[in-house]
Amino acid sequence: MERLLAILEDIQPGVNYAECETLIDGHYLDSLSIISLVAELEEEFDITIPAVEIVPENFNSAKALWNMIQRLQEEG
Amino acid sequence: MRRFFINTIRSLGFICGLLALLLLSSQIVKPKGNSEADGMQDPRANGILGEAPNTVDLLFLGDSESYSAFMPLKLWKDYGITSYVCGSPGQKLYYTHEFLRKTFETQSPKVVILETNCFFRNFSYAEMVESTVSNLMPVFRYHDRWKSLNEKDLDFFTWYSNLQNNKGYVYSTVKNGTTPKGYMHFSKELEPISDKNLSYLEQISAFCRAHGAKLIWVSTPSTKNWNTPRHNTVQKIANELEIPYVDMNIMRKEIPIDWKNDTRDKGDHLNFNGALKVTDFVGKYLSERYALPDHREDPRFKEWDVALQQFNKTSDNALGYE
Amino acid sequence: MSLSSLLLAGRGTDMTSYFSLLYLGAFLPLCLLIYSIFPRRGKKYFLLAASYTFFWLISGKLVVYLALSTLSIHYFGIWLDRIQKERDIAVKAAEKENRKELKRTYQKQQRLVLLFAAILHIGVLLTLKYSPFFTTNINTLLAHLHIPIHLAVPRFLMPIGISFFTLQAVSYIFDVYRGTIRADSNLFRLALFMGFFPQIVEGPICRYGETAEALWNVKTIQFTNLKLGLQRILYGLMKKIVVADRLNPFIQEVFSNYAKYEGGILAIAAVFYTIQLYMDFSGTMDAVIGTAEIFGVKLPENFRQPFFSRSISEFWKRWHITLGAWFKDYIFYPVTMSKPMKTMTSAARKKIGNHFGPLLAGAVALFCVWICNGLWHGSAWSYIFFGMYHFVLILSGNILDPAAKWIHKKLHIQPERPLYRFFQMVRTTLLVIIGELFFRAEGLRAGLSMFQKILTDFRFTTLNGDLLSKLRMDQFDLFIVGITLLLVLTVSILKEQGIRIREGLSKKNTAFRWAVLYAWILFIVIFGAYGPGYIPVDPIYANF
Repeated sequence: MERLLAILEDIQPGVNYAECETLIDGHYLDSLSIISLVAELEEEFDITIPAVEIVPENFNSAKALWNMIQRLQEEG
Repeated sequence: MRRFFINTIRSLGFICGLLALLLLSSQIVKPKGNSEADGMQDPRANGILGEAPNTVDLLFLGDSESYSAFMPLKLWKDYGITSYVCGSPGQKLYYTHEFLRKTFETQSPKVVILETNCFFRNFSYAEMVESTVSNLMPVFRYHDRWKSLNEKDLDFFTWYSNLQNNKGYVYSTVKNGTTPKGYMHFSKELEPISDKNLSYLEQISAFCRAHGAKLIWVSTPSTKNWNTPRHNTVQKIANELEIPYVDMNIMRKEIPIDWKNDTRDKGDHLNFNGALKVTDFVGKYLSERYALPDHREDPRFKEWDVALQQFNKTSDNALGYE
Repeated sequence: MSLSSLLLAGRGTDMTSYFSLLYLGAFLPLCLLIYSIFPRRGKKYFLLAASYTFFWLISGKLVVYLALSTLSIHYFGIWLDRIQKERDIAVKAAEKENRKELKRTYQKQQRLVLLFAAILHIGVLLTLKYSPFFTTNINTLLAHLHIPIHLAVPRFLMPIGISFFTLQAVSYIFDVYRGTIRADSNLFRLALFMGFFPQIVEGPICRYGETAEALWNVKTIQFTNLKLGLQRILYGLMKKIVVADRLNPFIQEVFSNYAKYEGGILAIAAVFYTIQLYMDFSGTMDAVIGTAEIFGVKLPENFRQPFFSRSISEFWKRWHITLGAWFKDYIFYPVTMSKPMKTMTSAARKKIGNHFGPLLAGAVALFCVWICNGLWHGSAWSYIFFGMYHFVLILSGNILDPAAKWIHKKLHIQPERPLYRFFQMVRTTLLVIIGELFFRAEGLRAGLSMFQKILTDFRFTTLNGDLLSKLRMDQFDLFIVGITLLLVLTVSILKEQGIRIREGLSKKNTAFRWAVLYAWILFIVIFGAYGPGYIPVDPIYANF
């Protein structure tokens, strides 16, 4: 989770990622940030994020992102 | 269930209120006279509304063919017959039917002549319904008059006083001749006619019968609009409905149209020359068969002489006046 | 009188518009009436029958395209479903270390099916819609190369709404492939999702997961839904016949004879066209969503006050939303998330940083999206130009973002200040208007020369009463358009602030409510641009 927050902060600074629950709906992350984020997450956590996972439910908060990462790691 | 009834009654109440408001606004926006300045649609044809009650003995109906060919003032001059052309551009039969009913509200023509070109003009159900609804609630036809409303519109009083000097006829001396090819060549074909049009023809015929008027169908000469398949279809329906049918396109001896000089747009419509020949024939035809009264000596019809004088003044004494 | 002339297949274009007398006055009431008295369990089947009747009435025998399209995705869906079931069983039985490999094999099979289905649907659309365009261009090319071959230009009859329902079909197959939805075994449910009559002509482009279930579970009409739905239809009717249709003669004349008019007039025409397009399309959406609301079905919104957007990219999240979302989900992300793009993004990020790193992949995907968007609207160079125009605007917005931030800092501009936000909205709107000018122009050449004239000949010297009356526009027309736009603007501001007007109205007492409704209906009846002197205008988006 710490690593995730660091990545987010690196990509788009100045958002309270621990609390924000509207990263997509509140337009904090635009499509380019998402592209960056996905590339970074894949590298960092050794997962593959397919296009189907790119829905607001998975990206709206750090917590949701974390859940997705864990799920993808398990499915391997 | 109770809720359902309450809702239904409330909805009905709402709709009634709406209808009342539409009728009220219809009274406000509908033209208060029958001239163009009053905002009347087709003011030339609607000039019939300005004629004194029960003075018009012969009614012409149809599209542009009718008002280019029939000349009421000539019939007046030669025979003392009072007539009017309720023809409008591109007239469709539902609109023809409207004019017929409207005319019979104040007039009681003894003969109705219907030009046949509009039998083949198709229209959609939507147009027909729109027209019917607009008749009941003129706000749908005349809503655009909001642009020119004045205080006179608020007292709801209508006064149709506008007279059309040519009694619906459109005077044109333009010559644009043609050499017809294949015009009225023999054919056994029947031009198809739509069910809607057929139904209106039946309604118009029934209406005339019920009101004691003799209905005649006439095809005026036109190389562009008329052909043998159309003739065949009309002849067939005329036989079925027992309506006298005169096709002037095949009467070259009686009505010798010279297509070089008698048309204003290459055979589409007749000009003044052509209209003279057609009207001459109509006068003869009517006087031989139907005893339409001669009103020329009747002082109540002085207005017709005025109209004739007026017409001659604006048309180089075209009809000649002694 | 027999019904044969009405039922003559393919002739009922009278009903293509959801505002036509035939639809609003006959089809919809009749449909609602029969629907209400239909037994509860059969209502959905009646809705399906009504939908096919509607489609048949407006496009005749071309209804087979819709039926075949539905049949084929039903079949492909089941095929994918079978592969998925086989996979699950096989994966369960396999050793842990083999599972990944196994999954990949099944994935490949699925991908083939998806590819086949997508190519089939998009292929039909391409053939029907674009083959005249492509053959014409090939002929031009051949002529330029002095090759004496001339291809015959094919002309196909295209069913109305094919651009919309094809996208729905492809999204269904895609979603089944991705596992976001299960394939539907019920052909009728799928058919209703594809062909629901209010949405078939102009969308919104729905997703199976959003609407299929709701459509299949339709129940008795609720009085509240009926009222709210009718009000929404009324609102759409006002936008369409009071504003859009009233502006039409002006737009029609200026765009078809643009050479006759000076730059200022052309600019007015471009503004008018943008208003007309918005009023026509969003008004139709009001009618569509309102109709669905009567049945208790919530269709996705297609517009969210687009002219309050602060950037072009935001504009496309608020205008024709369902189309933009479709491109985002089925083109933008699949392209950026493809293997080569991901590798590229990772490499680029390390070299040129977080902002520009993903830009390359983003640009490629964006390009694909906007080529498709342009082409989707029609097969002409002007539409491709329209797509490229927005591509460049959005991409340059992305590239220039750091620069803009730097400038804000230097000039002490606070981007959140209302005045600056207003400036951004006006700027976005201007850019949109320029885009719509090319969108509406009769060919790319006409668009370019109109735009050039606006820049070089921006004068209003010929603008006077005579010209306006020639363009069938008088001060009354302008006044009524202005009033209505003000009304729409007020409603938009309220909506933007989350205030629900229709619900607010329903809380007022009867006298007040009725007075408002009566005034509103009379307003439309009297100030609508319909009847004698007006030529009915076909809905703009039905042609796309």
